[in-house]
Amino acid sequence: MLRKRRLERISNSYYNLGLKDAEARNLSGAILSLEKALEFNKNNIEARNLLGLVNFEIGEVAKALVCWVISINIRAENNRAEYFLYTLQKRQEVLENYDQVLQKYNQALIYAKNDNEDLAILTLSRIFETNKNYVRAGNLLALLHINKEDYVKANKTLLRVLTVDKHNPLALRYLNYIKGQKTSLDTERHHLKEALSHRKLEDDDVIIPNTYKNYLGLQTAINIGLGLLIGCAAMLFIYFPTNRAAINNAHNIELTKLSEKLNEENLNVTELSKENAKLNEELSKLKEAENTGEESQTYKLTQYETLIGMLDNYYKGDFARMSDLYSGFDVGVISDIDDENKIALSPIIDMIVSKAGSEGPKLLLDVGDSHYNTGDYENALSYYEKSLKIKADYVPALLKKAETLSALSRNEEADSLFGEIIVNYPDTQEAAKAKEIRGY
Amino acid sequence: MIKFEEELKHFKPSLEISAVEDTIIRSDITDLNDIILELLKNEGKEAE
Repeated sequence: MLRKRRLERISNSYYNLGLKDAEARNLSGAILSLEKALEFNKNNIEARNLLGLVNFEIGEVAKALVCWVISINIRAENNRAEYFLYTLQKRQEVLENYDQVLQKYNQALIYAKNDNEDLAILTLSRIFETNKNYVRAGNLLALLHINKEDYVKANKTLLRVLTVDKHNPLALRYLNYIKGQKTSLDTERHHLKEALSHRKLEDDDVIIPNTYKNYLGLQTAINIGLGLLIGCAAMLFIYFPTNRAAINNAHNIELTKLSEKLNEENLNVTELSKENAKLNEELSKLKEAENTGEESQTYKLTQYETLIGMLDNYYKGDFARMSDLYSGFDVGVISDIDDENKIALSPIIDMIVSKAGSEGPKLLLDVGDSHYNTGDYENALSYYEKSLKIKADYVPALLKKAETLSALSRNEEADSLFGEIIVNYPDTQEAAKAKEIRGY
Repeated sequence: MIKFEEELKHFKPSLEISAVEDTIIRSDITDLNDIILELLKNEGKEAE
């Protein structure tokens, strides 16, 4: 038991070292320490889980899976490895991608070992582009670049590797080698330059002093600033005014066009106004005609109503009333009813006309006299006139009308009518009466 | 001086995910404790 306890303590010490290295990004060192920890105690779950994590971080996904699965097998409950496995396995495509990367690396290694260095470089470049933490691939790629003396690319790759694993021994070794190579190259380049620059100075050659070079940066900045200023000034004083003039010109042309168009439209509006006035006039005429038409229609209807009234009074025997209606009747508008009933109105009208024509004037005179005798001269006059409408030369009605006019103090009219009776109907009793009333 | 061929030999293939199962089955997780126990067991047998 004591032995076991001691081994566990040693294992934990190595685990602590591994943890410290991992935190410092010395992943290669961490792996060594953690593997040692497991050698002393295989049941050190923390060490095994951390080892899996470190392997995952440097792109060795399969190794990480091995660590975690074994960890679960040793202790299934309360084990962080369960979470790591769940995270990787929940999305199948992620695991497949990792597997493809690992396979491609192995393939690239085969290419490299079979003198297919270009293909190896191409494959590894593609892998490393999307999996920049794959340390092993980065180191192999750097080696291939070094072999081709492409030290710039090798340098770039190695720097990337060292970002993931700060103390990766292989990457450091390659980097040192590149630095050495670069130094010697730079030196050779420098020597070559110097060798070429050893020529005889001519009279017009200018020797640039060192102090000038020191200020070169500032001078460049000043020159750039000056250039910008000149450019802005040119824009302001040359380009903008020209451009503005061109724009103004274009605007003026546009304005002229618009004015012309506006004038045209105004003319159109005037024309349209005139037309509108004409149309309104026509409309008024049409309305008038329509109204007239309406009035005509109403008038016609009135005559038909009068006819009906006359017929009604005729059958009642009230011929006076019939005659009264007849005095205002316009027989000209009445026509026979030309529908399927085919009612002929002419006989009816003839009947009324005959009765009203023969008896109407006397009957209406009598009605007038009844009004005259009660002093209602206005109504009396009205009936006398109705009587005269039926028969214009009905002399008794003429005399009575003249008398009524006289009674209404319409003396001129009365006198005129008296005179008419005397002149036109001299041999009548009415003429003598007229003379008597008038006085001459 | 880096010799390409020599360096290349140090590069081993990566473990692929398809090989994880086999690796786990074949994995030897014997630790020092197991070795000591084995040694003690063997000593005991020898003593007998």
